[in-house]
Amino acid sequence: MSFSSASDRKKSESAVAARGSGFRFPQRGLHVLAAVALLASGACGAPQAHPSAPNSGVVEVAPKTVDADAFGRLPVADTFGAVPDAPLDAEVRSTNGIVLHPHRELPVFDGPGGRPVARIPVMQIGSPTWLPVVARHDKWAKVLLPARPNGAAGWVFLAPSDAAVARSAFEVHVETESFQLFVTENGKEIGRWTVGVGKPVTPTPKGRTFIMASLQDARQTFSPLILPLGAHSNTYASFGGGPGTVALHGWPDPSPFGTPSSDGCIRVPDDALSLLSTLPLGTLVLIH
Amino acid sequence: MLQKRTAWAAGTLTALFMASSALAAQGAEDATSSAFGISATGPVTIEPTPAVTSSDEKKQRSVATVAAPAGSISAQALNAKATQDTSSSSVVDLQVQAAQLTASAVRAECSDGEGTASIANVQLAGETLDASPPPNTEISVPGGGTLVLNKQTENADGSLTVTAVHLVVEGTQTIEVASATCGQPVGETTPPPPPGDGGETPQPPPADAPRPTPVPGHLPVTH
Repeated sequence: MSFSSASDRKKSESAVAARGSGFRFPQRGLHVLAAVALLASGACGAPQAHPSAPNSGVVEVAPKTVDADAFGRLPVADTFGAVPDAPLDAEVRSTNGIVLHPHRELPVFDGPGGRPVARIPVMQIGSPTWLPVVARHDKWAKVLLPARPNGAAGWVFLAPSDAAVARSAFEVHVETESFQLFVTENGKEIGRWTVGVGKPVTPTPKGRTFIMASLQDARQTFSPLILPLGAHSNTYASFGGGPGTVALHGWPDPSPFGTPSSDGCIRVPDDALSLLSTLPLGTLVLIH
Repeated sequence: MLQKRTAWAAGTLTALFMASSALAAQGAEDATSSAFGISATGPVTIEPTPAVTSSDEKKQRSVATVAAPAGSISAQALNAKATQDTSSSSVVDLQVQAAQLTASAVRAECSDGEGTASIANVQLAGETLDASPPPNTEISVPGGGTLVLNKQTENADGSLTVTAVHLVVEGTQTIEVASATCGQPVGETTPPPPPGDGGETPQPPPADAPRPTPVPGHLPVTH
């Protein structure tokens, strides 16, 4: 955990009470910054650079400080949010499978040492947040974000204890024109199915995204399990009262498989859903 | 295909930073411990309160009451304490309406990389729960949500975080009560990445990402 040194010098506080739907303390100077990696002591402005470990030869780029108010105003990188200032992920290709889970809300920057553009919550629809890492630079990792627009990405500074890192050996590939979905493990295909994709007027968006959550939604009957992705429909700004999230899910009958028939989602046969349900969150989904 | 099933996938940063053996070789670093009483993210947001961090002398902070709007979340006598190697936090009279969760006392302690949590008179929807739950005890919340008691996570730098109560309700509201972290070295000393490394070759390989647990919830997707 890291908190600003100013707050550490305070003694005890008296009772606090909430105001409104957010929770903000009346006392000034209670700089409890819940979720910010505050390794840099520099003020906002140009990124700080300082030498890292001795003999490393690497000049670190430290993150800009984000105060509590600014942090709270950053858009939330979840399926309901939009991160208009985030850089875009332009490459639709495989990675080494590294995925990252924040232990606390983390700020996302538009580049190493850049401007804060979003904040990543710890959960996504009740599942823990796991995001794929698509690039890195020293202690910075570029991750795909599950908010709009499609392809939104951003840079996270990884201070000690900020995040867990793991690796998914799997990737999901969808070829919309031939209605094929195949899953690879360490680059080798382990399953392939004919699936249903979006209608021409509501196409499944192409690009690089990921499995964002694993949901048992009792309010629908078309699939026992829904795997929302980090992508959204490009034609629906909202759908069914939701933000237009695209998902992998099953279907009660095989009629859609091999056809462009959905409102954007990828409808898969039961055994495909069984395999997909075992893939780690953050697993890359490449849609061509 | 078998996948190791881990609760919250305490991975390491070695994939990105190739740290392990080099960190050990760096010699003694000051440890840092921290703790907070209560925190919440989602529709109701509570910044960690009270919260302390220490890498040397004892730090302690207390808050008499924390209450979210309409009494949806409340706790009393919140306390957080930390010294270099030990931290603890406690609250009394916890109430979380959305999960019908009450507890007369909630406490977490972390010392030299080991954590304990205890919860007195804890009830979930009228059912009394174990006062000394084993680490990472998961319980479904009636009406939707997950409660994890004595949640223990090994952080990337080898420190341990123990959170007595970790609750997620309605898919989007997370509440953590009594969390303590210890054994965290200050001043990350990261060895340089190998030359020409673009982040494509992790060494040594990181842990396998965990198999997900489906969560009850609702999200209208573009079916």
